[in-house]
Parts: sequence; C-alpha cells; structure tokens
Amino acid sequence: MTRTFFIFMLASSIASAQQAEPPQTKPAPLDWNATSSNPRSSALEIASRNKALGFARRDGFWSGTLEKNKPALIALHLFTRNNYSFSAANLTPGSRIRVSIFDQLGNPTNSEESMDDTSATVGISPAHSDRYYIRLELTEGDKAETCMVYSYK
Amino acid sequence: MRVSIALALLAFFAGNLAFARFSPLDEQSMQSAVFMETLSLPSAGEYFSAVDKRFEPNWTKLLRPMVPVATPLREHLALQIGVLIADCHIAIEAQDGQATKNYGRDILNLAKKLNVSQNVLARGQNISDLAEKGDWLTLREELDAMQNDIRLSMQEQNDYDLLVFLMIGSWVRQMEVACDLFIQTPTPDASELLIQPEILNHLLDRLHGLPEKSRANPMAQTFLGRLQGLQPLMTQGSLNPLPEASVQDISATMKAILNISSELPPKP
Repeated sequence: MTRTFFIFMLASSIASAQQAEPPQTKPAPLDWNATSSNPRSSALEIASRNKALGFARRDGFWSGTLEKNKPALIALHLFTRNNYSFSAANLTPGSRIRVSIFDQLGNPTNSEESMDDTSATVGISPAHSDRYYIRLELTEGDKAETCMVYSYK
Repeated sequence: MRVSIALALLAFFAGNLAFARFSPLDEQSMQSAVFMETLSLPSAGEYFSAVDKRFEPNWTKLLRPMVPVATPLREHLALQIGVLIADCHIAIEAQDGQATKNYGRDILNLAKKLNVSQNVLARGQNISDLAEKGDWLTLREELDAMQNDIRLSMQEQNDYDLLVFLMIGSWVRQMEVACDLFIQTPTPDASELLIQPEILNHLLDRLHGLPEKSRANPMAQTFLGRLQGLQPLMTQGSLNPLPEASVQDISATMKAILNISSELPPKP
C-alpha cells in the first residue's frame, strides 16, 4: 500500500513537472539608455569579480521586468573551450533570481549555480560550439527589474 | 506508516522542485527565445578566444595591413568598420599595441564619416590609452563597447540598415581567419567553430529585410548570393565535422567578400 502510494506520488510529480514549463515572457527591448541603471551596474559589478580570473565582460546586456512564473529565455551562440559566466541582478528586496543554461536541444546543462538575495551567477564550459539558452526566472517575489550580462575567457 | 507517507510527500515535493528546475525546454519556448544582436551574436574577441585555444596561432602573423578605401557608400564604410573591428581584435590577441592603436584610429576615422557620437570618439581615445598600457583584457571590453556605441549612433541616425554591413564585415574576417587556420592544421572536430547557422541566417534575414533601394545595391546582392551559398554547409549541425572541401568553400566565400571590402565599390 505504502509502496504503491509512493510510486503514485513520484509519477504524479514527474507528470506535473513536465507540464510546469512556464510560458515565455516578452521582455522589454534592449534599453541602451540604461547603462547607469542600478540592475545593470549591479550585474556588471558581479561580473567584474571574475575579471581577476581573466574574464572579459561583454558590453551587450538583457534588461527587462521579470515576473514570477514568466521567465525570460535568451538565445546565444557559445564556443567550446571558452568559459562563460552569466550574472543577473535586480534591486528589489525579497526577490530571488535563478539563471539556468540549456543546450541546443533544450536540455539543462551540467552547470554551476549560485544565488543570493538579488543576484545569481552561473557558469559553463560548453561541450560544443552551438546555440545555448539562458533562462532567467524569479523564484521569489512577484516582479523585478532585472539585468543580465555575461563574461568569457 | 506515518513515516512512509512523510517520506513519500517529501519525495513528491523534492521531485517537483528538481524537475521544475531541470526539465528540458520545449520546442515552442526555444523558438520564441529572445535573440539580441548585442548579446546573442558573439563578439570577435569571444570568437578569437575560442580560436586561440583550438589552434594556438601566431597572431602576429595574422595581422595584415589594411588601408581603408575611400568610398561614397555608407554601406561600404560600415562594412570596412566591421572588418577593422575584427582586425583590431587580432591585434589585441597578438598583444601588439601599435597595431591596435592603428586599427582603432582607422575605425574612428571611418566612423566619423558616419557622423557617430562623441561616445565613440571617447572610446577611440580609451583604446589608444589601453594599448599603450598593454591592458589587453580591458581592451577587448572597450572594443566591444565601441562597436556597440557605433551601433547606437547608427540607430539614432536612422541608419539601422547599415548595421548588417558592419556585422558582415566583422563576421567574415573572423571566419576567414579560422578557415585559414583550419586549412593549415586540419582537425576534424575544430570545424565546429565554422558552423554557425543561426548567425548566417540572421545576417541573411537582415539583408532580406533591407529597404528595396538598399537591397538592390550591387554589394547587398553579392552578399546575399554569396552567403546563401553557405547555407547547405551549415545545416548539418556542429557535431558532424565539415569536410575539408567545405571549409575551402567557406574560405573562398569569406575572401571574396573581404575583397569587396577592400576595393572601390561598383557604381549602383
């Protein structure tokens, strides 16, 4: 009885998770005037911590409003043998961001992830030179102006 | 019994959490992913960083003197700026301060003809100062920022259409370098650096999206024809090595476009 119940619960958790992929948000267009905005400054500051390790920051960035259950998905072309670090930040108290990386087939990659109150950083050394996807999502909080930058070496 | 139910519930929530976090993306999500030129397209510095690890080239030997061609065509100016940006990244890889300054100066001179903003001029000075100091890492960042400032200036002046020529110039020079290195040292799995279908398709989409008058420009027509010819070579995915003959074909296309960049354009 207990075993059946356990299997049932496990199966239902898998089924509900597979249906749980949230819809995509339509992020705000690139805001070129936001160079001094706080989320970008904060994201750049986090990315700068890697500079001593030889990482160069890209000038391009994604910025927009993240809402709970409405992640942003960004496509990028990454090259094997490079190392990449993606940093996202917002300044909304009580919100948490998660940054995840998916390969060209949409499979989550074996990457590191770290989180604190309003920022998250994730790194990858791509197995292949190809298209990858970066997903930004709020795991706590309802809405937050967010910026993501990345660096490479 | 109670313990078993508690464990089952724990497994339920933990399972939900894990799968929600790590479940694959669906096709619709991937197709609707944001593609931004300033972020989704790799910078020349990023590409050469990967090329460096793969081929360990002598970057100094890859430097070439490039004298910008006087041209009345704004598309041709933008194309040359793109090529020079890639060349400047090669100079940074070669850690050649004087060459970096020279390319930076040439980029600036061409950009001035497109009436770019004061920001770009300031970047030019920064590049010269950083090259003097030999701060190669910051130089990569500054050159990337300069390219984006040129882009911004073009957008502000309603020259958005010119951007595709700048992107083509930079990409073609990057690909030419990688093709040459591959041909010198053929390594089957290194060909994945040459397979960039999304970038190629994006450039083609931009060319197709040009206003009719710009699209009718002989330079745009030539690029469309040449780049479309690369599509069959890039549809196989990066996991399958490219035959050497295909690399030769890509190289020939890149060199043909670069020749156009360094010649006086035909009159429309």
